[in-house]
Amino acid sequence: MHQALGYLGALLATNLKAGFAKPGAAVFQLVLMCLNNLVFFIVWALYFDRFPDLRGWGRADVALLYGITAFAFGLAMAVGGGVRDVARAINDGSLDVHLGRPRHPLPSLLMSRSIPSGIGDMLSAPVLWLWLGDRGLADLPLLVLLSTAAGIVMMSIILIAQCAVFWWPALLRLAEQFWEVVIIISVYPQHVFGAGIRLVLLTLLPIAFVSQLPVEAIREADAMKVLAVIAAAILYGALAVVIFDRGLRHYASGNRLVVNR
Amino acid sequence: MSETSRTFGAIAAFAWLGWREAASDRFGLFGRLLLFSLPVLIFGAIWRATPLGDSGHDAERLTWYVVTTEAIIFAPGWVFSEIEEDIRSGAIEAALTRPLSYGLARIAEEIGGTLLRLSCLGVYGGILAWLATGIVPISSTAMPALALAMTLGALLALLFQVVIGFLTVWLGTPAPVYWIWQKVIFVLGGLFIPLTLYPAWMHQIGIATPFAAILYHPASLVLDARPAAIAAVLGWQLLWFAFAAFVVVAVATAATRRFVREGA
Repeated sequence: MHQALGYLGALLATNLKAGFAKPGAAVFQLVLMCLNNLVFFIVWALYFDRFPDLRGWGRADVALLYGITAFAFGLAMAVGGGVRDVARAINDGSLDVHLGRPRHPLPSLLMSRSIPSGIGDMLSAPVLWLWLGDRGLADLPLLVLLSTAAGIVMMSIILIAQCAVFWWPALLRLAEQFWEVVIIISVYPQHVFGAGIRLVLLTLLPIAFVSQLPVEAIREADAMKVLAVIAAAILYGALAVVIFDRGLRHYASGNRLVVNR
Repeated sequence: MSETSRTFGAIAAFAWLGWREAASDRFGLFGRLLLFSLPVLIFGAIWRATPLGDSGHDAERLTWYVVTTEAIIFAPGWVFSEIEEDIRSGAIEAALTRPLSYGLARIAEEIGGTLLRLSCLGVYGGILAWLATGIVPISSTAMPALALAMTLGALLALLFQVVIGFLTVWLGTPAPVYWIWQKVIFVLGGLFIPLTLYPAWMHQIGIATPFAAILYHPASLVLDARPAAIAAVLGWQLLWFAFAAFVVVAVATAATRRFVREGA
């Protein structure tokens, strides 16, 4: 266990170092991403200025939701930015590089890229929670816990979609675009949808666990919903690993010759 | 054949190439239509859940408004990142040796792709909005004006993306500038909320920017398509189009000079 954590830590440190190889550019990206999230929130500020109530939700609730999604996505991209390249790696054979290692290929594949702007997303979250979401410092630990679980669910959904290429290579472009579907849905309140769509978002496409349910857990101080989000992170995380392992059995090597130093 | 007609012939060939490339990318196009459906459905649901009261708007027309703005924003694709890739990979070097300038060829190719995607998004969006609302809020006589305004909006967005793409030469990666530009468009262009629903001061600011010419002006035709409104919309768009064309030429020339002198 200690050895595995050491390996993951070393992977993370290496990729963060690579992500910050040009520190000036990385910090520039990080700051602008943070700013980018805050600018986008102006749309909601304008909306609630005109219409103070969206089926029981106000500006603070949407700020909470947007902050959770930003943290979850930022965490996924900063730690496991390689998740967006899995389909491409399967398709062009660059997955071979990870298969030749003595450990499970998934950690090195996911952590093969760290996207510095993800840290900017994460940094914008406390601003959204504490300033625009009317939350206090005491709420931070729970918000971080739920957002981390949301990040795992998000990463799992993206990974499962990318794994489709193991079976259907023609779906490469669709699989690559799928992360945008996850983002688009998770940054907007989902309680405005009918029961059918909400059910889909809790099961087949479990995006409700990324943003809607964490916000409801905090708004309603509902311990069951907190547990549901954590359980979803474990369940969908495990499901993603199982699907990836099944997909590997279908993988035909690209016979790619790469020297990794 | 004169120099000018040869240049126009080359531009048309690049535009046709862009159209065919976009048409052959069936999965990419399908993915784009799928992505486009999401904000349309989400905003449609949000507007239906909004107590619009005496705002002077109804959820049906606002859904059509969002369909129009989203179609415009989805049509140009990721032009800036393709220019970034050309500059970073050095592919631009080969393009610089051609008789037609790299910028002009790239814009022509992207116009072809943008027009194809906009046509698909427009038709698909119209059907989606009609199914969701049960109404078509614009008369058949005003449809060509709406189509023209949407095209000008998408091409304006494309030109600004080209400018952002050329910033690679100075910034290394233009993506952060694109994110900010995109979000400012969402706010000042009125992606989701028509500018008429903004506070007066914000409305004044938004309307005076090119962002309104990209999104709000064309989409406002589904709220008001009287001849005077159509003339005002097209007038504003043409004005900003001339400005954007000037900026593109200035930035592309400066970027190419710097690239030739110092590399990427």
